[in-house]
Amino acid sequence: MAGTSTMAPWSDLPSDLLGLVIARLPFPADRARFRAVCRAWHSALRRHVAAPPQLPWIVLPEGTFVTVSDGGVHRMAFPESNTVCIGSTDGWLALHRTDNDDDDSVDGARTTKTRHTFLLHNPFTGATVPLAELRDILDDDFFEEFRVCKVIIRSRPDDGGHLVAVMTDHWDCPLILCQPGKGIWTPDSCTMPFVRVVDIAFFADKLYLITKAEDLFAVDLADDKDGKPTITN
Amino acid sequence: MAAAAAEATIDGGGKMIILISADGKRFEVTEAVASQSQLISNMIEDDCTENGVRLPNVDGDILTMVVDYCNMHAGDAAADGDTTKASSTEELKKFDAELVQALENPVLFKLILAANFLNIKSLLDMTCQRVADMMSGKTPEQMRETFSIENDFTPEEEAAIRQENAWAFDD
Repeated sequence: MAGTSTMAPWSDLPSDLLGLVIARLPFPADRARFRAVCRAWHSALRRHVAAPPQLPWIVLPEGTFVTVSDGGVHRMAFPESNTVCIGSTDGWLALHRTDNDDDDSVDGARTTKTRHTFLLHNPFTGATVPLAELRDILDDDFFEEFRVCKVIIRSRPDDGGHLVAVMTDHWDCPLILCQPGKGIWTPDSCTMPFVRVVDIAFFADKLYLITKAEDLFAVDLADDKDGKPTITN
Repeated sequence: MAAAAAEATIDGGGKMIILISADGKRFEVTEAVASQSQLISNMIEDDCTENGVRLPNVDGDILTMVVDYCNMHAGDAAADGDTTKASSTEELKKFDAELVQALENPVLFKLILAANFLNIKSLLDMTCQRVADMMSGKTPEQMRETFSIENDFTPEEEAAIRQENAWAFDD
């Protein structure tokens, strides 16, 4: 074609050389746009970025994402409105939705009740998993005095199941384990080590707790016969 | 004769090498300069540079740039004692910055291929970095324009690919 002879055939740049260029594009957004340019670049990116070493993203409560490496700010709409993010692990976000229902109470006075809904959402795949079980504990009465401090999610790729651990500042209910669709587990009132928990983390098959007394506990996780989460030690 | 020229020596005792571009242009350089190319360095070791080194896939204008680059950077590789010939670090930085800034299509493309073929790591690093810098922050449309690339996705494919990373395409 006339005129194209002076153009360099960039889409024909050998794949290993494209790999050198890709290695110099550390920012996820640049890589995401690079792969949308043409077929050759799309497959080059797949070949050279099998396991990209990326810094984690920061999620702000209202749904803004900050990519640390380039300071990029991205918006990803939550699947529902009135929703804030209360925790995240890997690609999964724990979301908390609040809706105000106007109820006519018995004596005729109008009171406003807030309905709380919890769900897991993966903004990269669009998948959503309801956490209906949490509603029984994390209700309007709970939120009047207490708050959720941390939510972590353990996802098992093999069975696709999730285990959610919620840490609260409630003296009687500092930890809730929730297996979506299966059930929840809470510790008996004021039993060690579930007293004044200040941090939690999943690691390998265990849940680790740090208490205000600066003790570290590892607890074994299991499912009971109905698939409900439970703690065995 | 070319062979005689290739055998010629300069004051330092360094042997001269003749590089011959695809279009027949001849460049006489010292071994120290030529050795920055790992390809030529291997040829020197194997003693097969006597009749000049033919580079059938490097044009004369590109080879001019490569030789300039290697002349400038010969000081890097040369023994530390030889301070008179070695360019200062600042000079080198300035030279590299000016070279890289001036690089445009299609010279940049050819220079990458030449640096890769001749195996000159620092030049390859620098030119690939230039390409990455030209891509950074651009939309796919702008990248296509910058690099004269035809969009060979179907509209459906392109929409699906963008959807997978929708966050990267908002403004």
